[in-house]
Amino acid sequence: MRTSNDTFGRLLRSLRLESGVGLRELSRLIEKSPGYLSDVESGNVPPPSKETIVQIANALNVDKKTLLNAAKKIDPELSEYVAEQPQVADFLRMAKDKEFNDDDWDRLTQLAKLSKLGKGEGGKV
Amino acid sequence: MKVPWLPKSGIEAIAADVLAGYEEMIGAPVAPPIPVEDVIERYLDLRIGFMDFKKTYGFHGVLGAIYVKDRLIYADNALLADHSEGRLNFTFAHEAGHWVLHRKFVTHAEDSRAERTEIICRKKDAKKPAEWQADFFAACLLMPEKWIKSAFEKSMGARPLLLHNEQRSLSGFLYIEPCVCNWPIIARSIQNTGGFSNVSKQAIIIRLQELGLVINETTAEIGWHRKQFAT
Repeated sequence: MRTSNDTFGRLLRSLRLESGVGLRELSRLIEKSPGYLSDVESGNVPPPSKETIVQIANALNVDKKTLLNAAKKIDPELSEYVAEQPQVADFLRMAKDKEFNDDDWDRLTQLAKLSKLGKGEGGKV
Repeated sequence: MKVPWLPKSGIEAIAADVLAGYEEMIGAPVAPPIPVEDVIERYLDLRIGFMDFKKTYGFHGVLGAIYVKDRLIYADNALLADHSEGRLNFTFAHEAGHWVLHRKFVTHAEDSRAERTEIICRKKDAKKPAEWQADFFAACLLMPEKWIKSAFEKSMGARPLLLHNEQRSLSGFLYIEPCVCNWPIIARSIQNTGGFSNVSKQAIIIRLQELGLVINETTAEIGWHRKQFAT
């Protein structure tokens, strides 16, 4: 059975090879040992911390969201945002209580876009 | 593991085929230093990893291993230390050699029934045929004949160097004190001229001898001079 460790490890290796970055080169860039990194890629150990994942994404020049999602980790910037905006946490709690599904989130995203919510969208800031 | 005899020229050609395939894959010619890690990962589609062999197997003298079924090459953690770059790359290339030359013999070996499809490479087995072949493959992969010959000619001239017992000086376009401890200088010269920056000097001097470019006729107190040929 494939675990989340495997999923993350396989994705990391695939992105690394696509980026043309060697295992040792990446380990140097993120200041981790090659042995540790190979263990991560093999799924022998859990995915690294979210901060390290962001470092990896920067080193490989790939979207950090892809790696963070595969590791089931939240972007450190988002964690900070949620901590600083109580309404966000309240909203997420409501979504959890009401068990929003994928379709609900898609509709909500569309609604936010159509309503031009947020800075730079012409709506109320 | 029993493997069939292979001539040096055959192993050389197989290593050259691997490099040609890699060049085709990346769409560009390759020159030393040969990116062995990339050849292994992207062309041969094998994974690489690191292991503390002493801790895992309980004995010393293992630098690398290949787990054929898992398509996984391991090098010993100790090779990650500073100044071991050459040995690490040679170990990777050696294990790649097992993959290219020997994987079919592993998967069909008697012990495959017990899921033992790994090759653990111990220093004490270096003279066994499979280990020797993998070593020779590694040398051919990291130091392709045409590149090493070209570097030798640029650095040392067209004639092979003869290492012998006499302690004598050599003058000419290249001056190296002819004493036993000077083989690293010869190797370093080839290393710098040919761009073999990811290969150890020891591997280079062995390769030069294999190709007949450096001929060692001594067992002690080696000196050297340019061999005089009738031609």
